[in-house]
Amino acid sequence: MTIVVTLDVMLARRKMRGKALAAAIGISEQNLSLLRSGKVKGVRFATLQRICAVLECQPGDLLTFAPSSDDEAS
Amino acid sequence: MKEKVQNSSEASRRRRIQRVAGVMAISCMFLALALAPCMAVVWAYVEHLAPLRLPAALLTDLSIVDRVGGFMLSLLVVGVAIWGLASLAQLFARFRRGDIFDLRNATLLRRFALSVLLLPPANLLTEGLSTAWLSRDAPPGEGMIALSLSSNDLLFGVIGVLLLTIAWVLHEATAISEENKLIV
Repeated sequence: MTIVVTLDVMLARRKMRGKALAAAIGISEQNLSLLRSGKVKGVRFATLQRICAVLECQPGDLLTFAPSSDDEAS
Repeated sequence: MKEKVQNSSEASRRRRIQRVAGVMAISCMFLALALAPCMAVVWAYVEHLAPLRLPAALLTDLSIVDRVGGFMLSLLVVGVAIWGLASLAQLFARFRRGDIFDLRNATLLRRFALSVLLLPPANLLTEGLSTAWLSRDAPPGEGMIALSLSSNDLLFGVIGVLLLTIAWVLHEATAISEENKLIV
């Protein structure tokens, strides 16, 4: 996985709990937990938009690209 | 607001599916349970009912042994039909519980499709064996093996292949649904 979800970092910076964020953006805690642990295959723009609105950040603050050896080969 | 309306219409569609599936699950189970007793009744009154594809000449003066043997041979077709109906009943029961996109559903639908495909050959085999059984005491040269194919058999084949394809599509849809669950 070369896209790393850094939502935990933003939550810590905003001193916000995952439970409160899940309630604010209207997704289940289970799904938010999957997102935080990077176990998801994708994030909808609508979800990203709501997270950014609540945490007052940019998508780039939540996702980072970490090149792996596979990416360099391609 | 738009999302709420969409969710409520989705829930209403699901409820409708569950209602219909509930009725179908009970109907299929009832049919599966009734098939063998019905076939026994058919063989008890085969001269009057004659719903079987057997030559009428063979259906006169049948003894108990003839009838029991005929019934046992009919169980080949009945068994295939019961297997298919039981799979269908399980499938509808799962739909009723709300498990729509599930790998097990694709397997159950595939089983039903296979039973539909197997019915014509099972019918053909039963017909051949039944005529041989009923004409076993005939004088030499008058024994009989009757085989027949009708347009219904062809239709069963087409429907069976169609259902197999739908089961395959359901399998693919399940994979997509599983992937969608991982998109938040």
